[in-house]
Amino acid sequence: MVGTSILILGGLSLAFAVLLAFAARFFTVSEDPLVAKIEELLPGSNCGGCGAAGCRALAELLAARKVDPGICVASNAETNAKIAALTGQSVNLVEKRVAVLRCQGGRSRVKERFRYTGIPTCTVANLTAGGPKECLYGCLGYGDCLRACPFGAISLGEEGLPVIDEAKCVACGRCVAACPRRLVTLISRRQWTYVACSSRNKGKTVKDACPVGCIACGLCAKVTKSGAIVIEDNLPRMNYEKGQDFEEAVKRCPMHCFVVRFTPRTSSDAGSEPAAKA
Amino acid sequence: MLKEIVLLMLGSILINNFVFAYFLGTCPYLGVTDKLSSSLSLGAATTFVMTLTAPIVWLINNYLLVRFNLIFLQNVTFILVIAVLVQLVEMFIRKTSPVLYRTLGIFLPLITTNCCILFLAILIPIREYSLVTSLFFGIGSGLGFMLALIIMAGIREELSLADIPPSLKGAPLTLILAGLIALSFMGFAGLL
Repeated sequence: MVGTSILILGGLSLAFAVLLAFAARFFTVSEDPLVAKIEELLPGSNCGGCGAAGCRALAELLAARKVDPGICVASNAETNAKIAALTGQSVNLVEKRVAVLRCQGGRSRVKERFRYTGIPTCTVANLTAGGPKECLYGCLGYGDCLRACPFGAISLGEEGLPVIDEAKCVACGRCVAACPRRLVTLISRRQWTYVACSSRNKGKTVKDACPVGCIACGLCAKVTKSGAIVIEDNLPRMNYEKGQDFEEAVKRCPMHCFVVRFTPRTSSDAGSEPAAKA
Repeated sequence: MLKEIVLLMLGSILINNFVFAYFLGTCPYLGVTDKLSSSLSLGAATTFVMTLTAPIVWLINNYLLVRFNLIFLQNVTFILVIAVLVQLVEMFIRKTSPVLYRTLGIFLPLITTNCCILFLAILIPIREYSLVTSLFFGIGSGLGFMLALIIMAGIREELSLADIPPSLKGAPLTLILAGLIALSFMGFAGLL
C-alpha cells in the first residue's frame, strides 16, 4: 500500500511536471532582465506623469532606450542617474514643475447659489446647474484632485480649497486632468508667482461673485516693464521666458490675485527657488 | 440525462451556489470585486479551472485511487491537479494578456487555494457523479462563482459613488452586502 501510494502520487506528479514543461515551452514570455531592474528603481506610483501607462510600461520603454532616462517626474535626480547608468544613456534634465491651484475663492469669500446635496464630487457638482458656487469658474471644493493624487500631496484646507504640498508634488498632472474646471495647472518650479484666478468673466461679474477674482483691469500688464504679462480672455497670461519682473504687479494688483510662492533673489535673475523646496 | 444535466447546472448556479449557499471562496469574492472587468476575468479563469478540474478529478479518483484502494490520498491529489491547472491558466494569461495578468496579481495563483475548487473536487466522489455530470457540475459551479463575483462587483461599482456613512465605508459595507445577497439567494432554496 505504501509502495503503490508513492508510485501513484509520484507518477501523477511526474506526468503533470512533463505537461507543465511542455506548456511552458508554448507560453514562454521572454523578458529583458533590465526591465525588472529599472522597475525596481522607479517609484511604483503609476502616476503617468511621464506619459507612459504606469511605471512598468515606462521601465519597458527605458529598457528599449526609447525615452530619456530623466523622464520620470516622481523620482529624484539620483535615481534617474542610476537608471541612466543601467541603460548607458545620459540624462537630459527635464525642468521640474509643480501643480498650483488657480482659485482663491474659498467658502468665506464666494457665496453659494444653491445648496448642493448630490454626490459629493466636483465632476457631478459641476454638471448640476453649473455648480453651486456663485463663480462659474471657481473651485467647487469636493476634492476630485486630492482623490486623484497618487502621492497624497493635496489636502482640503479650512476654506474648502485644496492645498497642494509642494514638497510632495511631482507634477504628474493627475489633478490637472481630474479637475472638471481645469483649475490646477503645472508651472515651472522656478516661477516665483502666479495668478490664482481662472475667471474669464468681465470685471463686474467677477467682482459681484468674488473679492479676490481677477477683474482684468490690465494694471499688471501695464506695470510689468518687460511685457511678460498680457491680458487674454480677461486673464493675465504670464510669459515666464520674457521676464521675471512681477514685483510691481504683485504689489499693485487691486484684487490680490497673485500668489507668491517664494521671494526671488534679484528681479532680473529670479532663478531657482529655495533649495528646501526643490 | 439531459434533464438531469440542466437541473444540475441550474442548481449549482442559483440554488446551491458555492458562495451564497456554502459561503466558500469568500476571499476573492470580497477581495477582487471592486471592479467589474477584473472580477469578470477572475471569474472566467476560475470557471475554466473548475471545468477542467471536475473531469480530471473524476478520472483520477475512479481509475487510480478507488482501484488501488488509495482513497486517503484524495485531498493531496486533488490539490495537485488544481495547482497544475492554475499554473497552466497563469502561463496562458501571462502570455496572452500581460495587463490582465498584472490586474489580477496575487489572486491569480491564489485560485489554487480557492476552497470552492477543492470543495467541488471532494464533492464529486461523495455524490457519485458520472464523468459527464461531473463535467457539467464543474461548469455550473464555476458559472455560479462568476455570477457571485459579477453581482458583487456591479453593486460595489455603483456604491463607490454613493454617499456612505464613514463608519460603514469599505469592509463593513461589503460584508453587509454579502449577507444581503446571500439572503436574497435563499429564496431559491428548495426549488429542486
